[in-house]
Amino acid sequence: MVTARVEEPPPSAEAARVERELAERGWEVSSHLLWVTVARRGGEAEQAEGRTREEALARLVEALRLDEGARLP
Amino acid sequence: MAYASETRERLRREIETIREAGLFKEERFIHAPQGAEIEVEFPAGEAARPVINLCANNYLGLSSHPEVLAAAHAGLDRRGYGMSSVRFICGTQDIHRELETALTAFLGTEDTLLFPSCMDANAGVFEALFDDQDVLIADRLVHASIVDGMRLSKAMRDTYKHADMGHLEEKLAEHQDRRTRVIVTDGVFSMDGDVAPLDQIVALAERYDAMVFVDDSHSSGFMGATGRGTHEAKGVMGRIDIITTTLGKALGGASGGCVSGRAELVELCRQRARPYLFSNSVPPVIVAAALKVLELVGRTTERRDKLEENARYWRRLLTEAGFDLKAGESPIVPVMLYNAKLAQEVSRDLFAEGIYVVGFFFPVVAKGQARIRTQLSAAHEKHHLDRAIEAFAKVGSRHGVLGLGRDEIVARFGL
Ligand SMILES: Cc1ncc(COP(=O)(O)O)c(C=O)c1O
Repeated sequence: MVTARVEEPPPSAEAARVERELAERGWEVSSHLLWVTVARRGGEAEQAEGRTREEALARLVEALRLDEGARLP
Repeated sequence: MAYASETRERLRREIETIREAGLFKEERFIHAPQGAEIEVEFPAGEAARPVINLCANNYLGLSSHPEVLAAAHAGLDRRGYGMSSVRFICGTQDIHRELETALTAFLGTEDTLLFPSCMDANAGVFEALFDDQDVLIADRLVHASIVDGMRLSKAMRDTYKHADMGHLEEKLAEHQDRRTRVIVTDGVFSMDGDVAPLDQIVALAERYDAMVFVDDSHSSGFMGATGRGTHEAKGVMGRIDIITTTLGKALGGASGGCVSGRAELVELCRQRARPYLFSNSVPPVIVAAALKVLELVGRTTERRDKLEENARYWRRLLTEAGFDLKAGESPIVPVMLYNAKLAQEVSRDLFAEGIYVVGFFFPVVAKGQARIRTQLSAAHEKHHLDRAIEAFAKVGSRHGVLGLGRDEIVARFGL
């Protein structure tokens, strides 16, 4: 699948500070850009993320398939 | 003011939208213990009247069984009412462990962990066992509680078309790069009453190095020759990695659920599953009664045999009367009406005739798949079903649906 990746900007000083702080609390932190897709219908909503738009949409489709499935007790 | 009038207005509008869509759920007050014949007050404020109950999950008729009630009373006397604690602090009695051991033996697994409900078991199990290196591949009709549990896990989620083994195989092949593949299915699907092809699922799991998860809530106690569940019915006892099930249906009908399966998986749930860690213990009275239920179920297959016979008889009566049914082998017998309004009207008219059933339509079931779900019980006697079919035939004839298949019903009533 052809997908366009967006160039990630270097971390700001504020981002670096937060990452350092979390590292001091024992967390290994990594950050990256994600596509976020959202589907709404009336009061319903579903959201999915992916490294590419296609990946996000594929996950959205699967999430909606599950949501639209059985709802019987 | 924290509860602003705009908030109140917005919420009221949402409730109104639910009502306008015909999806407003109204409780019917039952003035009796659960059983084949109950007294129901509906609409609220009307005098309660006797009806035959064809919509409970009381498959084995044990919800109000005298021996179960006696065991509950004895449990109350010996172990008290509540535990006032989660399991791992001071909420585990000897009988909790006894029940887990009894469930393990009954289900033919390695270990079992009790949860407050099967909804909780499903909510906790995936998050406790799997992470973003794993993939959960679910049948598209799995129960809502499984969907919620999968959402709570960090694992990748994928689906396969309902009971479509070719599609499942494609998905298993596609996900060979994942650390663990987990096939997720209900044993009996509550919507159509059909049974998952566990024999084929297990074969695929073995071929593609996957684990198998089955929610057997609508099967435990009666599916299979000795009622152990769909894994017994499909000849794959001991080959299912994780089973979740409920005590809230056939197995006494009170509440409680469990995760049962491979010892390490169950132990990890004991260490990590949040509904187990952060919600109160199953009350002693329910544990004591559930132990009795398992003893009764293990003593004889009479009840599951009667249930099977009732389901067969009921299917035959409905078919002979001219109703369109979903084919199946479980005690869930959906009477297909396809049209939502028709399903609502037929269930309302049946209630007036003394038969308690519920119509289901979109979005509870797929669009154009409206139906009345009837559920059999070992508590039903033939005379209940004979009386029920008279009412079904009368109402079905009034609405002109007898002898019609899907296309004819849709042509006459629309979708
Ligand atoms: C397949 C399935 N799983 C789980 C549940 C939830 O069980 P419980 O009532 O124990 O939470 C149900 C009940 O509606 C069910 O049908």
